[in-house]
Amino acid sequence: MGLLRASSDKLGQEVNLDATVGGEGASDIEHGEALVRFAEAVTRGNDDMDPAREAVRKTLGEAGFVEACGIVGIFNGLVRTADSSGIPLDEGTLHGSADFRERLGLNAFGGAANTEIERGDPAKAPARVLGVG
Amino acid sequence: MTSFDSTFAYDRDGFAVRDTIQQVHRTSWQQIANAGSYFTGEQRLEIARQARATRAKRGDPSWLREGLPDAEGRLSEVAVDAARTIAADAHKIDSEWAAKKIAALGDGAYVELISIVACMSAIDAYSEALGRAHEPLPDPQPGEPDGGRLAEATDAGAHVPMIDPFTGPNVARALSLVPSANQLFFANVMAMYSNGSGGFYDMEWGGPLDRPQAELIAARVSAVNECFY
Repeated sequence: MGLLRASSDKLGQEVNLDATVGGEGASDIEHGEALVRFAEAVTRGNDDMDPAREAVRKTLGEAGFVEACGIVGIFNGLVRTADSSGIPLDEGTLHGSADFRERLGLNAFGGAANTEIERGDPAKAPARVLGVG
Repeated sequence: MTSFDSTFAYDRDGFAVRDTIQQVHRTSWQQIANAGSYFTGEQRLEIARQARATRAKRGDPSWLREGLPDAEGRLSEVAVDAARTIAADAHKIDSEWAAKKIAALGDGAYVELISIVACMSAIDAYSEALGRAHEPLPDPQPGEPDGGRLAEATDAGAHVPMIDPFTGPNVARALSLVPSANQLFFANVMAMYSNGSGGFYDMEWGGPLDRPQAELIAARVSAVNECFY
């Protein structure tokens, strides 16, 4: 989510991170509502997958749709890598996400136990996310 | 020698998939079918089969997932349970669970197993997203595991040893204990997590999907999976 905020800032876009946990705000990003719906449908494997897929095709075109599929796919692998390896957050992300983790409910996820989340301090957040931005 | 050139025929199925993605998927299939560092090709394919079957039932509670395939002696019960859990319930994994699996399997085998399940999840989810059938699993290839591991891997506070310190994206070191496992999965990351004209270190991407759009998808996938990371 830090990269979502950083990349949006770079492009001068407002972003409401609530959209990532099922809240409002996806519309702040172009075609964001269709992308969130698609990401959720594929990840859950639910009955919305076919219409969600067609909605992304319609809004982003075939090339954008195929790229969106790549992001959905690889993050379904990355989450399993992170959770099963138990890798803690890096220092930059620990501090840089402290201001929204609790509000969005992320600290309640089981994987939070892998990181000393109480050390997170927004005042120590780096200007650049993960060394980029 | 099995040819993998006819696998992942995305173009035949009508999808304009970048060559880099098609190639890395073919290479992944070939690598999964061959012996790794801790498992034979037959065992690696059994991990893949268990992961695919269990992930297909990810919407069901674990106690209602009936009809999962029998490993028929190809894998230990511990390995089967690990593959199934990582495939469908990774968010429930805690240090105690991981420690038990690692004690039984060894840390290198556990890391290799993660890489296969993660690779399968990414490639299968990609096919599901596109709206095509899963690619059939290949036949196992002969060969013996080489026991490869990174001697410098150390305790970095995770369930498994990894390289530390590390200057790249943090998650890219998660499987660094076993170089072949790390390469298997992160080759897919390199190919799929970009749009061909921008990569991880670029906040602005050209092409049909911009970086905020990609990160919005990524964040929603993570949240639905209840992934803290």
